[in-house]
Amino acid sequence: MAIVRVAALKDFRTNALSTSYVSTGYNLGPLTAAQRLVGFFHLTCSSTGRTLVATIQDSSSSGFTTLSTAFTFGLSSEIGSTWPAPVAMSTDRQWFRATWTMSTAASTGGSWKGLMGMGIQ
Amino acid sequence: MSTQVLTNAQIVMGGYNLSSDFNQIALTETFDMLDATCFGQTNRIYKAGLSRIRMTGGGFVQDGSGLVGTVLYNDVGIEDEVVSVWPDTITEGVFTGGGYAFKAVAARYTPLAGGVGELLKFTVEAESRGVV
Repeated sequence: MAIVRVAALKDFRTNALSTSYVSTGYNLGPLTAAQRLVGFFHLTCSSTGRTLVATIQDSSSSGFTTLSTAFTFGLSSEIGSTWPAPVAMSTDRQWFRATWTMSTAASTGGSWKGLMGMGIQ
Repeated sequence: MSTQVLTNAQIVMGGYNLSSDFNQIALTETFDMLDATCFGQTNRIYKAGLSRIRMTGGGFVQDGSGLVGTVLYNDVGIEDEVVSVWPDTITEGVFTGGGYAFKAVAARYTPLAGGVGELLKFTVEAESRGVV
């Protein structure tokens, strides 16, 4: 395992997320055929009983008209961190962004803090 | 990129943003050097073996729920935490001047260190978990 140089896709350690959102798309690729995409997620504050679904999406265009979900993170109600198995991807995928969806089941929204990012290994 | 003064490094371990608790940080990647020297050689010959990543850091102890002393005390020996270290304020969407991350186990924690009249200090080391 080599060290991975990473870029943040969304830093919300200070300003909590409280609504569903899609981050800015960033041109951080493409990967070569031999490389793999790494995604990681630090969840530093969560709301008990609510649900957060966070993903990293990739696309060949800045408009994300055709997109794939590279990672879906499993942390939602308990603080911690996760680093799913790195994935290979097509060499035309160079745009990346973070997304998150909050639970709407509760009458009042939750709030989450953390840091989501990616690297190329 | 010009030289940088380390004034606002960001350290995130697992589910805790510990940036403001550290006052020193170092991140090192090393490879075992395997001696591959055979008869007839006039110099040592080495091959790169297995790699390891180590984060070392320290700061001043604060104890209490969610504070660095308690977090690291409970953290040592826990596997598969993500450690990310950034040299300065995090800018989204860039690798340049960005951070480094690895999957780690907090391998060593010294919760009490210092001399007479000094603030109580801690040091912590995290090693790469080796599985990605």
